[in-house]
Amino acid sequence: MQCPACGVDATTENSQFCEECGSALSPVTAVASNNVDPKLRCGKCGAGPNAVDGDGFCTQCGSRRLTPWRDHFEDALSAKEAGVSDIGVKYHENQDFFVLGRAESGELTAIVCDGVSRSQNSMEGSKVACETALESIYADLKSGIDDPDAILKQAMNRAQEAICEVPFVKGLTEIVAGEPEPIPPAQATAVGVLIKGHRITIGWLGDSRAYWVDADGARQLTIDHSWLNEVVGSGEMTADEALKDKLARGIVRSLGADFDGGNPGVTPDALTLNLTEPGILLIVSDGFYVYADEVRIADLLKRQPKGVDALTLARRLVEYARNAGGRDNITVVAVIC
Amino acid sequence: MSNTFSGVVHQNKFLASGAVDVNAIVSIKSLVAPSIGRPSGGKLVIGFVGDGSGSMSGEKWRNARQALVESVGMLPENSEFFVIIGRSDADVIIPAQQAGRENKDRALGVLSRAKDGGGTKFAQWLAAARGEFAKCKGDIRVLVFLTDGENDEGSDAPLAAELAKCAGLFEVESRGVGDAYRPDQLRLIQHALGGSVDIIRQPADLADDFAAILDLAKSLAMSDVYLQIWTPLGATIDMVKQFGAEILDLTNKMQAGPNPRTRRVPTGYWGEETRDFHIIIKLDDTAVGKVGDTKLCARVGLVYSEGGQEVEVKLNEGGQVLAVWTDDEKQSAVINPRVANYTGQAELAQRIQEGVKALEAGDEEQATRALQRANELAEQTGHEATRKLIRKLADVDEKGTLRIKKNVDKMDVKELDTRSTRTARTRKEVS
Repeated sequence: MQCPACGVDATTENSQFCEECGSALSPVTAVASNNVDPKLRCGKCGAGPNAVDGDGFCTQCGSRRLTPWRDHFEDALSAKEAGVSDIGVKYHENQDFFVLGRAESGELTAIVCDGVSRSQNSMEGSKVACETALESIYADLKSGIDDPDAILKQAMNRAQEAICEVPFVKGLTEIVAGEPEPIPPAQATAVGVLIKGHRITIGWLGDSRAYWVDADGARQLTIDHSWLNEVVGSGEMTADEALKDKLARGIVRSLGADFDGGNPGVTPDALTLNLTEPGILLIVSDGFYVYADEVRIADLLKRQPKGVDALTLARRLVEYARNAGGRDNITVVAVIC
Repeated sequence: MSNTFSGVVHQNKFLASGAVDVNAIVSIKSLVAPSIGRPSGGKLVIGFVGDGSGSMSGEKWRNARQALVESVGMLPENSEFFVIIGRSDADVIIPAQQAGRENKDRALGVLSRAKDGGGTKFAQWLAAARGEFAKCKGDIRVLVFLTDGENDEGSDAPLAAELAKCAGLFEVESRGVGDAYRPDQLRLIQHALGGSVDIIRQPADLADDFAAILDLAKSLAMSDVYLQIWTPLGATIDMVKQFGAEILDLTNKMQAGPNPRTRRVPTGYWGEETRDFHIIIKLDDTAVGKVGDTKLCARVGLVYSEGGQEVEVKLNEGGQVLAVWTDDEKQSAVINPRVANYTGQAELAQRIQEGVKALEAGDEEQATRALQRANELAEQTGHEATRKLIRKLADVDEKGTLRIKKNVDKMDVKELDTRSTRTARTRKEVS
């Protein structure tokens, strides 16, 4: 007898369930499953709605039928504070992560981490870094510390300790074009904000960014910890000279253990601004800003309807980056101030 | 006993657009040891087949008999054993019996009177061993198979036919003594029945080697352990190779599983150890994904039986073997280091066997080519022991150019050939 759900002849005369996909074989169910909405069937092989295993794969053809939550997730605290993280178009896992939270004392905080793809277990790395940083900020606020720069730097230090605990294989190499290349333990960039009233403090490591957008346009607040900025900043080279190097924009600071799993320590930067005008704070991973410079960001926001909520705004910006190519994971947190 | 085994899949899941072969290394660690109880109630049966043909006479025969005497003396009392002297007929001088004190004493008497003489008939000897094993209750069954010569049954056909009958009934520790046996014949036995092959260069080393085999056999605790592999429609299991102490191709051993999509691969007896399995899944046109697709190409688990009950062991991450098709060459060109290592080791064994064959046929050019490549592979895979064996036969200059020595010791050739399927276990890695 052919299973009505998955079409495979994997049943014996008296069986009640298909041995292939687990669908019930009673006549009543059989009729019902013949009438199954095609949308509930496997898009590749047409297996029935029950032919899905615990990991979301089709039990008949092995295709992925359910998307892991990490591929696209959203969070909103209110109409003014929300974030969206998305796998993008080219990547096969989302190594970005973000958290959004409000402390008991009322401060708003958000952290975005972008796991470095050529490191081990970076999906886990960006997640524990974000979660640890959030806990650290809550703990410091609760203990009465009123130095937001110090709170954010301390959050980065604790995130660093946490990411160094992510399991890794020592000495792991990948053979790329015949040459073994060592792969470090989990590495991630981090950018965190702490907002109290009109005071915004930003701390960061690497090239995930914060932008401020108001009536005057968009302005990048953070300065990437890239080799380019470093050599230009020190006067060693001009930007034109440095940009001849293909890896000029490579990051020189990030969270993550060294090759032996030791903690080399981190030196985050932090800055504080006092708001005088209303505007929108964006905290983003490079998967977004590679498709939008300051002018484009200002333009994108100008085109939004008045009174747009933060979640809709974040979704639209992520969608914009996907449509522009989506070559990396994309994360956008929007805070309407 | 759910913590008896654990396992994890290593792979690069990224495939180039249109790629149809999915490689994975399944690493299985067992914690089964007799000291923590024999989970499947395994009791040891040790059989001995000593080559008693005419060529064994003199020093070899004296040492073989002495090794048998010492081994019988060391058998645990709760085990069973038998001894066969292989001649033109198999002479079951000690039929299967419990290894109690009285039986052992009587056996030692029989052994001291045993005489050599006659032909070398592997199939007949194995048939006799099969008959003796059939009388035993224990389910960990190891045959120690000692020979110094070439099977003279005319062709390998009688041996192949007998091996088919023995498959799954016992494992064989084959030992070649001297330089006149044929490693490829011992490998035939190994491929069919599992176990290992090795050379014993000096007859005086026989007793120590048998003692080591006995130690190994005593450490085995579990029989009836199977890899269980589910594959989706359009996917077939193209290869299953075991990398334990030796390379063993299990592809032809696959059996039907509990449902049409699942197959089982018998893995023989287990002690406390780690084994890696190199699995290749092949996808047909209907099963190949497009760029961006993710597909579950296999789910690997382990099953064993305990008190008549089947126990299934789930591996980490559900034992998933995945394929993700990508147009990013940087991702798809990466070869998982374990896959690379085992692919290299398998080719190494093949090249050595080719090289030895050519050498014996007098084709020095072909032998040089094969051993040159083998030497490179041994270096790449960190196979120090094999490199040393190759350098007994050949000089390698600074540039890595290999030249076969003028006077090659026949025993060195046998040793290299016999040990070609030995693995260099990858360095211990935290995972």
